[in-house]
Amino acid sequence: MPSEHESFNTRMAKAMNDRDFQAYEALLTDDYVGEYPQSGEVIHGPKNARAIIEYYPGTLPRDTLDLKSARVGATEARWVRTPTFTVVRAEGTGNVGFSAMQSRYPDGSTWWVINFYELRGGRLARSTTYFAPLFEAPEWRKPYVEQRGPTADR
Amino acid sequence: MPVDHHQLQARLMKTLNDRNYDEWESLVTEDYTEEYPQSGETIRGRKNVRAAMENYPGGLPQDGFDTTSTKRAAVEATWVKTPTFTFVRVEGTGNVGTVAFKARYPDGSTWWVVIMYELRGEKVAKATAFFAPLFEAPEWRKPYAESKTVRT
Repeated sequence: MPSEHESFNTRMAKAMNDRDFQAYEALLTDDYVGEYPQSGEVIHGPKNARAIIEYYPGTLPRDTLDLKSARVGATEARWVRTPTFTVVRAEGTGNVGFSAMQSRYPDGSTWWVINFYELRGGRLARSTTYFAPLFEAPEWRKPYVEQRGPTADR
Repeated sequence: MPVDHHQLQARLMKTLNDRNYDEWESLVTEDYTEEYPQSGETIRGRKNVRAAMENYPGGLPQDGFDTTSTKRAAVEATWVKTPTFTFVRVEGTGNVGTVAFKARYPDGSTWWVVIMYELRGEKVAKATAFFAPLFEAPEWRKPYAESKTVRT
């Protein structure tokens, strides 16, 4: 049986990929707060959160989130060796978790989106999000490194 | 006796800020593996990871890791309301956790480093690291977002 986190992440990704902003908004608590530490932005409330994805310049593409990568990062995370990895709990504080997945942007770029979040009653109450661009492995590091295949498989 | 993740991370940061790589090696397993999903790189073994740090072009700066930001991201994360947040456990699989902190690079840039890690015994056995650059809040988003000052 899927956990609350798996179910939540699947619904959230589907809402984003279908550009179903109504469904997206419904997945957030009324007092939702989202933070982007890289820019210092703090987003209060589901209406603002919705506006940000709905009015993204150039429009976020349909299927913006790569669920294949999300499965790797969140559900089948190799570095944890359990399908329940993202289903983490902080003792005594309810439901918190984190996920990582690739996302495509209107300019054609692909970024890893890493989310640390807290659920309340099956809805997203807080999130702290980091955006990490793909990059080429540098030459100088090659002697020490094993290189995985094409971008899509990372 | 459970591992104190906070203390372990503080020790790791100190060894890196002091560029004390001998001490760093003592805190990770011999087969420690580091993955960078953004570039597809996997570094196997603590000797290789150490070499990658020691040979970083320009040299990784002394005190390059901002321990103040670590504390804020990891220990005082208001969105979790507990000092134990980043020190999460996966039921039945041993010790895993996450940590986020800001790091300065030789070119003067500052990045958030977000690490998901796994412990074996009292040492770090595996880490998946993401590197996220600071960026300016875009104009178009300002109607919807409050802005904090980003310290670089």
